[in-house]
Amino acid sequence: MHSLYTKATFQSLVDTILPRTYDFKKNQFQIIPGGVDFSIDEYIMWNLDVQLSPRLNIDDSYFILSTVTAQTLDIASMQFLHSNTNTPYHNDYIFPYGGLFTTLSRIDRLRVIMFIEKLDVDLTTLPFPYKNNPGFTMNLMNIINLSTIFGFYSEWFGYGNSRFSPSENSRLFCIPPGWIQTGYPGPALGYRDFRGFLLEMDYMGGIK
Amino acid sequence: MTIQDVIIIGAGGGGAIAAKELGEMGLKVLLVEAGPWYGNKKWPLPNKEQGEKYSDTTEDLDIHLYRRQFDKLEYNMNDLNTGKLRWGPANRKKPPWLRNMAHRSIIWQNAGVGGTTLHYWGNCPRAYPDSIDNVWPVSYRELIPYYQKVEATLPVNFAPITSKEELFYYGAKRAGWNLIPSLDVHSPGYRPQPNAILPPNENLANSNFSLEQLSWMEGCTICGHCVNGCPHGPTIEKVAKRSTHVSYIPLALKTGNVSVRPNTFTIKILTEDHPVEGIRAIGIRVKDTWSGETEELFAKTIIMAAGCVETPRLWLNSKLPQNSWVGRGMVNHYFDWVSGIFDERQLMNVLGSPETNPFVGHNSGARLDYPGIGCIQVAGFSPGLTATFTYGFSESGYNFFNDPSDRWDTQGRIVGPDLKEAMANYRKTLSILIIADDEVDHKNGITVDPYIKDENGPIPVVNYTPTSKARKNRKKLVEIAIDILKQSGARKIIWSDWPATSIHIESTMRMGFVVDADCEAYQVKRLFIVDNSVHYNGIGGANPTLTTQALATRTSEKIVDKYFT
Repeated sequence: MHSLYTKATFQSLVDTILPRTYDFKKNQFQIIPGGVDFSIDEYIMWNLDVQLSPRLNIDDSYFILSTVTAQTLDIASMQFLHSNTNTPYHNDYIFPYGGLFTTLSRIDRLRVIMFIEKLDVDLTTLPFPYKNNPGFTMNLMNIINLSTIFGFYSEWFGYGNSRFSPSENSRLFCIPPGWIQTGYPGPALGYRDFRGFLLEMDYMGGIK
Repeated sequence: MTIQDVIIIGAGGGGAIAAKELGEMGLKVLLVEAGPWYGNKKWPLPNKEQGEKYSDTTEDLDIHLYRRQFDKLEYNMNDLNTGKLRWGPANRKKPPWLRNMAHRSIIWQNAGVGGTTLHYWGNCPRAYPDSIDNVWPVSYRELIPYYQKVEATLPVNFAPITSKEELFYYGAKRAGWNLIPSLDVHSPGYRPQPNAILPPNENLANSNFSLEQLSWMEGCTICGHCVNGCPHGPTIEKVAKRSTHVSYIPLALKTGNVSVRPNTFTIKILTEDHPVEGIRAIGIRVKDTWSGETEELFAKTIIMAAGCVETPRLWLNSKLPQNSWVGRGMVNHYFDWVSGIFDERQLMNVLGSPETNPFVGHNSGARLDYPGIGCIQVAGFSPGLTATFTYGFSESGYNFFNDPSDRWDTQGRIVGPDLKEAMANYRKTLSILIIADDEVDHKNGITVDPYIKDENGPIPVVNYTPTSKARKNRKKLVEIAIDILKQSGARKIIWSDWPATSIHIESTMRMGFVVDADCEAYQVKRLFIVDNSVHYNGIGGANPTLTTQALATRTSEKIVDKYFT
């Protein structure tokens, strides 16, 4: 179970990358759900804490990777604001219990991630395992971006209650939102769009 | 205790070839593999239960079981952490095996019988001759009969045309490129991918046959699931995409001389100091990935085929003799990714249909080769992987912060409403993978972490910085891809600008430095290598698997000639 602080931080991250959007086409107002609507924040935290974290234990040091990642985003936000003093931020609770990162505008949250990725952040101030670890820090920023996008556009959400325990016979309980938003028809037995060959081989090193 | 003739470490793109070749020549072979075995009755629940220890007959292979396991869903199959096709133990409740990356990157490999060919796209071009001749310790001419043998055995066929290939050819022709009807490529031009995928069933366009029927028959159904693990065919041996677990492994089992043991991680090469031969390999120490039990296995010859990361890691963790080139000189083709989004009207004009449908057809069915620079190839698959590769992965941050260009519309990651809009056009997108010829640089490669260990020993550290030549080659290929997309009529060009990605890893145990021209280690006799790591260089930027398979065929002959005649 993640703390409200950690959850709020990852919700604000997912909201930045895949926000809820609105469509006004054809005189109709339509809400197009975003990543938070489909628990993508939980997917990322699960990847960090269950899949990655157990491989990083050194000297039995105890840490929750999702929490220290949230702290890293906040520490970087503070340093970013120090060097960009005219950056606006808000005090209302869009993501209750979140830290400084969650109070920034979406575009400034992205600036903070790039601030970290470019290693402009002071690595000595970050918690373990980010502290003085540039390769890991850059790769974790990469992972949180990739996880958000893959989690949303793959079928992950469709597995219902079994989405955190992949099994031999996982079943989809709904059409995944990523399929709906892209028009992907799902796995196929085949297609008929066969348009011939440009070249054929004869297995003797020749071409037909 | 049975002493085998040969133990092979790794049942992937190289190890499976050596198993079949050596088995056919009468040698007793044990093939050990770290990951699971899908489609084998001895492991009916390969991700849940330990199952049995060995399989040595095609009687154990079961297409119905296989088809239940390979469900073509990209999260279930391809998720880097939990997917069935991941670099990790069979038990999906355990985390994947970690590699420490010194730079922002992704390493995309599979553990399992079939190795990374489980998810590969089947692309099988030969090396560019000019990258071999007068460069490698062996000539291109010497490799040709081995290429031909592998091409016939897999077999390799030129890819069929679907919408995305047709659009690519249209743009390439308009951009002034010529068709190159050859397997031995000396000059630039476009051509269909030589793929290890069976030709489409002759009745694919015949509506009297349902797609369900066709999926149980011989031949590709152009379903677009190469990367997710192709499950279609009447038997395991006739599955359409020719990963080694459906091609060479069944052939190896049929020799009656090969036994395969999955779920077995090799943690040490055992050696002795022989009075005549000097230091030589005599066996391996393995760990069962389910029980954690260790065991020692012995053979007259050992072959490493664990891949470009694990082979040098195994050498280093085994404390084999020091060699300054072990793990060093890694190339990875410094990949990049460019996409175009098209208007419906333009697609109707070119294709006669309103969509590119990137999920249809071979994942990559067309390419443009440019010897000396590299190649580019069409790429298309399911939306999660498409979104990740196209919009989620960049060296240049988020697109908002990059300067506009007259060559492309966006550079870098796309997020927010723009991402959703871009993915709403998923079915009107054509993507091109950039594969650059990069140079061997001693600074790049594999070491082992002094602090972090997993159950198999110190974990690998992967370090890669592209050289100036790699950057120059990639830039030129990006320009060519953009030009082809524009000539095809793309209305929006997206340059992803990837960080260096380790998908085609080669030359971490180079021929001429770590192994000799027969792929035997200079410093440890009876220890051979048959994976991409022995490549002298990046073979000019061509996809590496076929060359590794040709070399593995050749090395098998050399082993028999040297130690078993």
